[in-house]
Amino acid sequence: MVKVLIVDDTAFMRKLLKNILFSAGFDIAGEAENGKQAVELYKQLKPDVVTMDIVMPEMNGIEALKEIKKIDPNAKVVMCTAVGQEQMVKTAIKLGAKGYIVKPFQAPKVVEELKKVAKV
Amino acid sequence: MTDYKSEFLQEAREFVELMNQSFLKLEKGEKSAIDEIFRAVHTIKGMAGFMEFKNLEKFCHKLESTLGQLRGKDVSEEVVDILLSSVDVISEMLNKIESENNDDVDFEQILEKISSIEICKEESDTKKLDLELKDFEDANLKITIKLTEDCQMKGVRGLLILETLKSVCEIRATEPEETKIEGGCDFFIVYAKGDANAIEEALSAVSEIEKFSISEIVKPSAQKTVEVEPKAEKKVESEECELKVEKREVKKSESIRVDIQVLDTIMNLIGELVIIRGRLLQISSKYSISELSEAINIMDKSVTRLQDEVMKLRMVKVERVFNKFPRMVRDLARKLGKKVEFTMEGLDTELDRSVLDEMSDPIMHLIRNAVDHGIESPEERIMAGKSEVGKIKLSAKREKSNVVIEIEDDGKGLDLEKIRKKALEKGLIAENSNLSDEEIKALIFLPGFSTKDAPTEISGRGVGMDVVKTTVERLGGSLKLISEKGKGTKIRIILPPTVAIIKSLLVSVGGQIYAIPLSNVVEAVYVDEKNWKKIHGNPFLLVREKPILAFTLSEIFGCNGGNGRKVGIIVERENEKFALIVDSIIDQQEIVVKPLTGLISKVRGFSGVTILGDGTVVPIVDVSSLLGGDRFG
Repeated sequence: MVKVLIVDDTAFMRKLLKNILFSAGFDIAGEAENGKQAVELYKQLKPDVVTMDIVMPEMNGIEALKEIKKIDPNAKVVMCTAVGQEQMVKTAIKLGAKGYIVKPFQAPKVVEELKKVAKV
Repeated sequence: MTDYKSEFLQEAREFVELMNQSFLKLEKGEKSAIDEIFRAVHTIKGMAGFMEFKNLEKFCHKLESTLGQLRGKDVSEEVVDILLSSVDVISEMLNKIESENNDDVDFEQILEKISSIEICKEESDTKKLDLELKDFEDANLKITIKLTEDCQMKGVRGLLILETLKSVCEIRATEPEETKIEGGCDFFIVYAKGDANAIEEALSAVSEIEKFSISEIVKPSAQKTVEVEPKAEKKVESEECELKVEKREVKKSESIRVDIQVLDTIMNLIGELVIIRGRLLQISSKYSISELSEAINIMDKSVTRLQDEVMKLRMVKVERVFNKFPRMVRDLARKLGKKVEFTMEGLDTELDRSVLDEMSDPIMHLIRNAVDHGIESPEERIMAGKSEVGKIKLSAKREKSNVVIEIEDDGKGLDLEKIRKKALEKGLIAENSNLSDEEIKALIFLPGFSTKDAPTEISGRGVGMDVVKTTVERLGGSLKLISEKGKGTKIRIILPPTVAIIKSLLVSVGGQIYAIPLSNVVEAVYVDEKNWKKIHGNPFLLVREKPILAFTLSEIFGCNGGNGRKVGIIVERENEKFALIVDSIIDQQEIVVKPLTGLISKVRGFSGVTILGDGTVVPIVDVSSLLGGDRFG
């Protein structure tokens, strides 16, 4: 089973993603509500895929991505983005993000993206 | 397949027409015209392929590739000659398809000529290829990627794909360029150096890709193939775009093709409706039932609108016929060794389709005449102190309720003396007849008149000036000829915009009603003792002291005219005025012309009949043939 780490500062979004991914057969390894927590949890949990929100307190998604890549250059991070944030996603991709999902989430798209990135 | 044949032929012919026009534009230096031609040839090729006309398809294919090489280049007259004759080959094939259902036309000869165009152009092309190649010389793979339609943030996806590829191979070039891919596009090509398997694996980890393909670029001997492939690819893409654009256009105008016969039937039915409407109006005024007259009033309005709309349906732009003339003038001028600048004006003037169709040959004849007889050879023109290039102008315009078509040239004009001599020779006039200039000019409209001793290939086609004149008059129009020796000739044709419904004057002769088309009528005057004169036994009507030859209709029709004061209707025919004496004028109204058919179709003096609101059948007087010599021949 593919282990997923969900990173988002709103509980609602985390719950939403959790539901989508859980019903698609992913193992929800853990949840983080900011970048700093995400980096910590990544070290501990060694998830297969991370869904990373971009705008978050403490440490944003881009910074967290950089840190995670330092720990594990092969880390598979999927950015969570919204219309208007294209530039930031592009930056993330240049930094090694492997995919992106667009809010509002469409369940099939989210599942497809994560399955592809995790190579299931 | 036969179901589509007529549509295929019709459309293909439209494209042929378009090609003719565009080639002339090309010759004038409009380089963009080649794209239009390209599209036309390509479409014909596609249609021919579908219809399984192999020769046509093959020929178009060859032509297409030649055209591709001419893009953006200056094209000489000789090349245009070859290309135009290849358009003729296509026309010929289409004709053969229509008549014999096959396209067996020998096109080897013309194909050779077409190939000869290519050879001299090829060199510069290869140079260009080399330049473009340098950038990705060592690329061994061509990767084409198509994103899904519902892909979100296509630019980001594009970047993600490029980044993914960069992690497994070296990108040498992309099409379009990377920044454009990052801006978002559905379809792109990447030329890269690397391992196909690794690339395949990497790409399969990216979502929202509809499909991708990786192909090896075959290297050593043929650098060309490298270039050819992407080029072909590009073509497909741009064609797709063109197709889309076309579809959109069709949607916009939302037009359909309708058989002209269907329109004629509708027109006829509306004619009947107009007549019935008249009857109903009469009945309702007789019985004065308010509900009935109200309903009829509403119907009256609807029918009037319907009539207007259908009349509009029948109107087409003169462009439809005029467009074939530039090519004709060009070919003719080249053949005769003359230099002609042909201009057209008022192409969007509208004319009833049947009028326009009937006028097509006469106008063509007049233009041929202008090139053949009107415009002098360059040497003659220089001798006469004119510019070497002769000018011919064809124009159409709306003037009041008529359409005026003019053909004007700055050639040598009519040689009156020559015309007189010729007419004498042919026995058309008597030796001692003393004719005015106007009368001599009118001679050229007589049947069997031609000033050229040996008719050239061009003018000896059976349509003479007399046919031009009778056609115009049959359509209810008139024709004027203005010519000055050494300065040029101008022919002015005035046509009613439609023939189906005309304005007319209803007159009474011996108790029977007749209609005289208003287009012929100049004025009407009462006849009394003061203005009624007999000169040499012929009756004349004096209008403002000018005698006008008078014809009493009751005598011509062989009936007893009514008593009381009579009316003289002054009509015009070929710049001449005549007076038709009738009992009285009844009304002026729009009438629906019903042509004479069967046995009575040959009766001269009448162009048709109409039916009035009360059901009365009224003959329509054809002024031209009524007064034209043998009256009831």
